[in-house]
Amino acid sequence: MKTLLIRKKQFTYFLLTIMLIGCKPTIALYDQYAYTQATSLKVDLQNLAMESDSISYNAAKPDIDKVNTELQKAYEYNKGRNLNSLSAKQYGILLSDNDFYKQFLNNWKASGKESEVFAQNVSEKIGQLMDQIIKLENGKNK
Amino acid sequence: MALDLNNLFIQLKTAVVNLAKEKFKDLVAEASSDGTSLLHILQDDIKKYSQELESNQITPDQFKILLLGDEDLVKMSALTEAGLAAAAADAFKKEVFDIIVNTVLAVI
Repeated sequence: MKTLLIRKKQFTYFLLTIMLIGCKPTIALYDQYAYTQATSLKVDLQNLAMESDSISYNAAKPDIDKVNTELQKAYEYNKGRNLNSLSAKQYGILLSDNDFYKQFLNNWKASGKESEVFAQNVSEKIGQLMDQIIKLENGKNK
Repeated sequence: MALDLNNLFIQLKTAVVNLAKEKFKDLVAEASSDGTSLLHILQDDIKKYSQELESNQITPDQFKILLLGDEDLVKMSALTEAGLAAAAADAFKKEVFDIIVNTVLAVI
């Protein structure tokens, strides 16, 4: 009887071990801070784009620098999380000099001010890009 | 002369299929299908931005930047889908192990 109980206990430990190994996640779990960071950045980036038709690049430079710093912080935070390379890559696209956001800033700098239609388009597009980051974070297991 | 959007999309589709033939000799059908699907996804933006370009509401450089935004959106969407699939697989795996543990413990 005692042997049977010991065997049952050993078997339970074995099962728990198997479960722990088998359940090792392949992607990071949901992170409330990362989610808040992304939703906040979405608003800041969209507001910045909407400013571009009324405020010159030079006048908006403090706002641009502030938003870019927040963007860099979000990238670094996400890059530092385990199993989170997909989210980090998404931020990497926003930070890349050859991609949309930085090309928009370059165009704003060169033009002084953007047209209303272009500013509206950029705001919509950047909202859609941030929605992808938010959707991924929100879809991670809690 | 007003922009002929139907003709524009016929031209785009032809160019995409020709590119698929040139680049993927063994997978022309699959590559053409992927390319035309992408055109379909981007259809509304291509129409909108082309019309705005034609009416000088945006410049050619701004048009290119907006299309770059669409390209980024396709890349980011692929990353999102990959992540969501991984999260769903993790959740499923965990549930399977829960079933194994609960079932085995219940019958022993």
